[in-house]
Amino acid sequence: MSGDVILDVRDLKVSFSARRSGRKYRVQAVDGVSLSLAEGEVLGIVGESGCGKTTVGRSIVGLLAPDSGAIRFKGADMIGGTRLHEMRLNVRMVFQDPYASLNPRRTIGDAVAEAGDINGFFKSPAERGAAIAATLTAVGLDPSFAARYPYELSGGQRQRVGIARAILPTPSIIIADEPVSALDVSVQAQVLNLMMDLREELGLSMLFISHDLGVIGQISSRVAVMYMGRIVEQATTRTVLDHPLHPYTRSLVAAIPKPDPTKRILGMIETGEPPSQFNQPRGCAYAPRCPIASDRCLVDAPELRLVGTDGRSLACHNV
Amino acid sequence: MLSVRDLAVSLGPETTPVDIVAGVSFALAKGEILGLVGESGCGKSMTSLAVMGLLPQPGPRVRAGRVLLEGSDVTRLQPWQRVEAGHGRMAMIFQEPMTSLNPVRRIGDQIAEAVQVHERISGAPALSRARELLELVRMPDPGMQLSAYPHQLSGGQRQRVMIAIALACRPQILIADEPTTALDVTIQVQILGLLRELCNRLDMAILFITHDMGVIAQLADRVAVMYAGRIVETAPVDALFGRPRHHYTRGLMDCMPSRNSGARRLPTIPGQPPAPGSVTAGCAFASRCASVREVCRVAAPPHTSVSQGHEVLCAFPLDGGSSP
Repeated sequence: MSGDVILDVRDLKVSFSARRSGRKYRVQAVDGVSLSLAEGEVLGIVGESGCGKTTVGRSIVGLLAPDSGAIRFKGADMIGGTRLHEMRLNVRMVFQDPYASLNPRRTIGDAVAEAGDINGFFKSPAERGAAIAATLTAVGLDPSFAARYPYELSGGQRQRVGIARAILPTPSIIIADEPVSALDVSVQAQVLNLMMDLREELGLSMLFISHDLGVIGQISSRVAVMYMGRIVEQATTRTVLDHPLHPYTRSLVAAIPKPDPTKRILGMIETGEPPSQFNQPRGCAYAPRCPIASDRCLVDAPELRLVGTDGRSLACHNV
Repeated sequence: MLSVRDLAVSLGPETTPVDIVAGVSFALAKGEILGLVGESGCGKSMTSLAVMGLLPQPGPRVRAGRVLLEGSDVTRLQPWQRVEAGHGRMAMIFQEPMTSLNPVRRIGDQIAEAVQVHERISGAPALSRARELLELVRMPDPGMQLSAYPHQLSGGQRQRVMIAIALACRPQILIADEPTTALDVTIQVQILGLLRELCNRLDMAILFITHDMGVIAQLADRVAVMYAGRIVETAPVDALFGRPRHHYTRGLMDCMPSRNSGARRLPTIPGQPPAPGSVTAGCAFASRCASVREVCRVAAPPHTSVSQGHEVLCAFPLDGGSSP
């Protein structure tokens, strides 16, 4: 499983300007995120709406320009680097909404071949056709789909196309942003299995972004939990799911609706009001919701630090 | 209190209708939460809209069956006629509260408007009733929030406002169509808890529609599982999760990641649901069922009662033991 570090993100900061009630604000969507992805590893990023998980993913593939920080792919800088094209072919993205991410007027074959076309990857039309057919087969679609249009496909089939687009030519890393959230559970299971198979067959590394700890638990070996632009806890997936330490992770794990009517949680856990990006606290962002917050938490934002011996890191003063 | 009998909702011309909901029957008792669960396109929302009398016009229509509210059939009544009749009050909340609220009106006014539709009172008392409703749905700082606009509220707070508006008519039945699907899990658990609390406090029945088996397990008293326009299994929640008897129900539970953490691969249900009208004979699930037999493809599956209150639409139900 574990190999050399293939992707290294250091102190990433991304902000957006926004206007509210006539005033201009700077919203710090990502506030100093560092993470590293080892060769062949699946790292999950989990968090709720607005926590910055998608912004991290989009910054890594170069769809957003960060304010500061470094993103290195196999040691080479991805921001302002000289081999950007090569890196972009090697770090690819699978998007959430298989309806919005495919051009309705292009055939499936053209969509799948797009990255190869742009980069002059195919030597002849015959080679291009064969590559499309092989890629469609790899994601469990019949090669005849190449001539079809997105409207002819179901949600699950479209997401298979979304994955096919990301693996031709074969990349080193896939950034998957909520790739199964728009799918029904039975189809979700099919697509998750496909992603696990492809990871193994093609030797991919993956950054898997999701709000769903169940899905993350299925596919990733390590998970980073984000809250208001920062990583608050990072550890192996089993550790996070079975023994969460950060109070936010604890409430996130506790709030998953367990499919077991004998283990009911309603009315038994307090989760507090969600934060607003326009009103970022000076200290720990979670302090206003936190059951164990102390005076220090209100003024002093905790740094991510290593705890214990199993590689867990945690940003909390009181755990 | 509410009884739905052999409801069929169809699309297309009168002469060759295509049923998107067929033979759906269920009953809802006072103070009960019935979960209606199924995947996209199974007909769960169409069923709820038909019960509410809110099917989009022109479009799907109730082809057959009855919706009995305290004994009288409401399928032939328009919504305003139901309001005038004043009996069997029903209200509905939807998935995305932002699209259900008017963005340029204060929420206090929007709740008061709903109050005034149902009660002949003037503005000031309607507004104070709106405040009571916001307290009832446990809105933080209800007095202040009366003058807030929808965009100033979080997603969870907006859904609380929608519930307050729904409660304005003092409903006996609340239909909730995926009300927490757009919310984060930490907020979802609050809204589900609120619905359970309201159900107990107001002795109100809830028809809760969702695709999420986890949410159903947490909230519902009884569950109806829908597939391809039909209810394939109905059972008390403990029986359904403890001993699912329909092959589709079992498949749905098995492919949930949270039931499998650690497994190398997730079990799946092969294929996908049939398009409406494409299954003309036999069981709609036959083409995906691992235990299919010849008769399933030709004969419509029978309603089988497997135990008290546990019915399944299958000729060969699972025996309900441990995993096969």
